[in-house]
Amino acid sequence: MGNLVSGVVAIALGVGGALLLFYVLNALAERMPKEWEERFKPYAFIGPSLAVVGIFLLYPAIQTFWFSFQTRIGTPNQEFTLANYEFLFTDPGIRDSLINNLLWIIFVPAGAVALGLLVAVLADRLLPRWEKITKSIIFMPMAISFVGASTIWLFMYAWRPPGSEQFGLITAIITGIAGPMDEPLIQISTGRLNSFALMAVMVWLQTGFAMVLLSAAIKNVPTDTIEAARIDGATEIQIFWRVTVPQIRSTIVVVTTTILILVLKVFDIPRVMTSGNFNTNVIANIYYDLAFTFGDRGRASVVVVALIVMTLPFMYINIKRFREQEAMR
Amino acid sequence: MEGEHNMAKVVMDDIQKVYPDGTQAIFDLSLAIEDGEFVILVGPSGCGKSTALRMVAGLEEISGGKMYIGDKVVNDLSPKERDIAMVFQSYALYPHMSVADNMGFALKLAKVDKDEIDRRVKEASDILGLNEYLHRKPKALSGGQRQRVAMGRAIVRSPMAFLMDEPLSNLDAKLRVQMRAEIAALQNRLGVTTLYVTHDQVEAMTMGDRVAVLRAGRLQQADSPQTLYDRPDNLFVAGFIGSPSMNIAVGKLSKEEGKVYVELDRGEVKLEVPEAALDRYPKAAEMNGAEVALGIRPEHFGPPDSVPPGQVWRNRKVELVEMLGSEMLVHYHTASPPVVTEDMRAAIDDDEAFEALQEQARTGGQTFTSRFEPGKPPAVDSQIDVGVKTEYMHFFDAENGLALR
Repeated sequence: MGNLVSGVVAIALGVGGALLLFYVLNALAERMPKEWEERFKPYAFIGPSLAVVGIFLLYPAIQTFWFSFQTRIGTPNQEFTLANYEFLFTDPGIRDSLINNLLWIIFVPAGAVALGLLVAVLADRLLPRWEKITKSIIFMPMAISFVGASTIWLFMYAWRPPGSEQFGLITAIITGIAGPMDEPLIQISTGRLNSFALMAVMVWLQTGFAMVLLSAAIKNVPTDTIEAARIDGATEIQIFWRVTVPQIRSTIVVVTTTILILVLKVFDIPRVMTSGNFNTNVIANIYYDLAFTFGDRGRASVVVVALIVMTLPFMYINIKRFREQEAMR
Repeated sequence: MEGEHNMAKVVMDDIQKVYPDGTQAIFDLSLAIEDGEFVILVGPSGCGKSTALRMVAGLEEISGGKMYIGDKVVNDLSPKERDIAMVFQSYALYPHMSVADNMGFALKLAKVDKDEIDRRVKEASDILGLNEYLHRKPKALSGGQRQRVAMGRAIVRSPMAFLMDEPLSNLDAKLRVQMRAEIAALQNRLGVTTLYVTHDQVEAMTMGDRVAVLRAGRLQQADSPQTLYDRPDNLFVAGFIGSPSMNIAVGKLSKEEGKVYVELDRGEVKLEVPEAALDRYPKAAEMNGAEVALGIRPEHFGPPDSVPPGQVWRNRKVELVEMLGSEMLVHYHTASPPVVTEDMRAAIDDDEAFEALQEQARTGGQTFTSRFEPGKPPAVDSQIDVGVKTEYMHFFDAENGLALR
């Protein structure tokens, strides 16, 4: 009860405080001479947001960058070093994680977009009622948190020693088809396959997102152009690749890059399912371990810098796309 | 393109279209489009004309009857196998392809040699004046240019037949008139069998060799534009074709001393029906005492001194005058009740206008429109005398709307 009250109070204070802030700033602006008022007013409204972004995003980012060149941070002996970068490029654990991240980058967005596109195209051919039901079911995982989804999939992969009954769905299917398994799927010590078992969770979560956007885009493709292609002699597959896909290209790019950025930050799924063991570690998890388990802020910072650098090109593509789309309106 | 000519007749034989929910869109449609002929399919909105065209294209399933293109029955063939090209109302250009790629797409799919594609695209773009736009995307073209590209996409294929679905309705009025002439000239030059759908009866009258009038899924009449105009088979065709439309009123036929008369304004006006009109509507002579639908086109009126004294309709009250430069349209009141049937509702194709007509029917009169040489316009509310060129009168059965022939 006490929590509830303080929660409500916090919300009221937050929203009320923001309102009050804007009210005061606006009142201030209106008291200024006309000429100054017009110059000041935009900043009165955009200023607080800029301040929040600056304090909680920009400043830590710069600090992180700075820390990546420091050692013994927070002690009197803090000093400049390049050792963190040496660690970044030489540590085998980081190299493995980078490879895993790369696999995630390659397979998860592609998998989610391909599945989303497939579902969108097939659902488009169903009766409207069935289309709605199908899409709702496939969209549903979007409402589940990464941690929740990871837990659900842990049950899917759950394993019992041979001889006992398998209650993990996927394990049960595999043992049913291929015979008993000697160890759990995500602990099989065979190279990088384990990462794919984890990626499945992300694909499962993001297919719904991809499907919704792609389905909307497909429905926006004018029927006339499809019929024109049919008359021009195109087969259904040619129509799909040469008429439909080019017309939804910008949506495909946006969906891919959005999932890609999400994938770069992936942390929860490996953390919950394997804690980074069995060759499934990823950069974000290494950062977490370095920063909070080992308290090595310099090395943790350098890992974050690497992550940000990897994200930049995709952010650039996405923003460029977004601008192009805005310009077309 | 010229020269590689295919013998291509398009024949619809007793075509039916029934939708899965049981509604029937097309009833017993039989129409033959001869090789090289330009046939216009016209009718009010929802009459099934686009459905009929889409059935020829293969975009719509045929529920019954036989469809021939060339000598082949095409009922079960895909659009691809029918060798037709279609121009859509929206043009349906591929937005991601250049003009040249749009035009060459069908040939590319047919795995035609690249040089050959270039040659044919060039040839088509020469004809259509599209040379400087070949590398542009459709987005960067004006409405008229897009329309041309859509035409170009059809002609590069040198198909058996062109199908056009209201290709001009997205253009502004001036461009529409220009493109109307261009398409007609192009079709004439290429000599490709063409079926053209429109709701605009002016397009229908000006462009085609023959016009097929469709109403509620049934073919009403298919004839040359002039025949359609001069000898409509029924009240619907009479009311639908012509702008401004034919004046149609209830009139009573009578026969005295071997001469046939028609009474208007509930007997106040009695006009003799001349031989010329009876030749065209012989049954009118046999319907003594019957109430029929009498039709007179606006241009078949004239000044009172242009006709014999017995053909003058006196003291009509002027309601509105439209000066159009080359002509003058005068709207005036008559006491002759309009014909209020489903034929007329369909011909007017406008529920509000039809309700106005029903209202006039209740009060027992209606407004007639006459087309005169331009001159000094009569004042509104003044009274004028109108001469009726009775030899051009049309007669229809008031009940079933059929011409009295």
